[in-house]
Amino acid sequence: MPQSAFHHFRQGLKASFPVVVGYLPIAFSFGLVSHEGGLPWWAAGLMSLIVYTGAGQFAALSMLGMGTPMPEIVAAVLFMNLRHIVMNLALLPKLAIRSLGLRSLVALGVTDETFAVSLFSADEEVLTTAGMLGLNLGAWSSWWMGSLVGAWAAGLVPKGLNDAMAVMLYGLFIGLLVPAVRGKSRGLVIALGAMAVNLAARQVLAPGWALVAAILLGAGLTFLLPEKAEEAKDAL
Amino acid sequence: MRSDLLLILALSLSTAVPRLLPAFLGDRFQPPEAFRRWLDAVPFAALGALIFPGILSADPSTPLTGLAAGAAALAASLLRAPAYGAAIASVLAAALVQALH
Repeated sequence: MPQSAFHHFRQGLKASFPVVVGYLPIAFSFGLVSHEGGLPWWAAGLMSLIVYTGAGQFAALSMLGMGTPMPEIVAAVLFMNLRHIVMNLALLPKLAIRSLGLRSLVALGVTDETFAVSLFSADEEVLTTAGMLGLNLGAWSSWWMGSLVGAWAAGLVPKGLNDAMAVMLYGLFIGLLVPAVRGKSRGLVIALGAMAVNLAARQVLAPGWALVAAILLGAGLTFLLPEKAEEAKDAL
Repeated sequence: MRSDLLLILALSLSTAVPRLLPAFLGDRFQPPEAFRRWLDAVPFAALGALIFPGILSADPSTPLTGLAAGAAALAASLLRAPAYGAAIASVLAAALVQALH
């Protein structure tokens, strides 16, 4: 690696620090709850290693817990991750990478958080190929390491809390949703609409497909809501 | 164990394909504006649908556990606790309900 690329890589790795701090407790929770859901420790680690998606992994756990069959789980996670298409369409042209292998490597590392850091970092050296690889490596490593530690720590949870742990995922989902919709009625309406669709769809569909339908139709509510100027910022 | 492995491999495809697609599409392709709008709404819809009504059956013996857990998580996040703080609050509330029930 040439000198400047190595420097960019290090700047990227440094820029990953706030993402790492944000990921570790969530990854730890994932490991902890995956044990509760009956996944062996290696499966929790492997999932974080090669699936690498926060909300999607928790959704998969939650659906596994309900005994949802595989096709529904995969479909729900797929729809939840389609947003990465848009992020990479915005990110990759800025890097102008010729090699398909390198483009793919950078593309595989995109998450909501690394995307935001890369585009808004004050340090322009982060938004380079080597910088992105450093940023992605830091974020990704903290995600799977945190998950492994959480899966290991699951054995230390006191017996009295074991049953109560079943609600942890829901608490986490609420903890993610509330700050996201704070002062943003549009997001709140969409979330509440998706809840209603889910409730209704469960009368006619298996719970897994009801969830998929609620995601697709609930998000479709966006076309019924008035567009606002604030949206340009929301798009992140 | 084999089904766990199969699920993880299938899930890794469902996250890798959307990430990789733009790498293969080239730098000039842009999706239609309506698709972007819909995508922006997906995380809200997904979180909403994941919470309700599933939370009511988190404890198969009574919906009270889920309700208390949800209220605790809501209160914690309205007080600006981080997401894992809301998760911990929900577990404590559920443990309390289960102890009393």
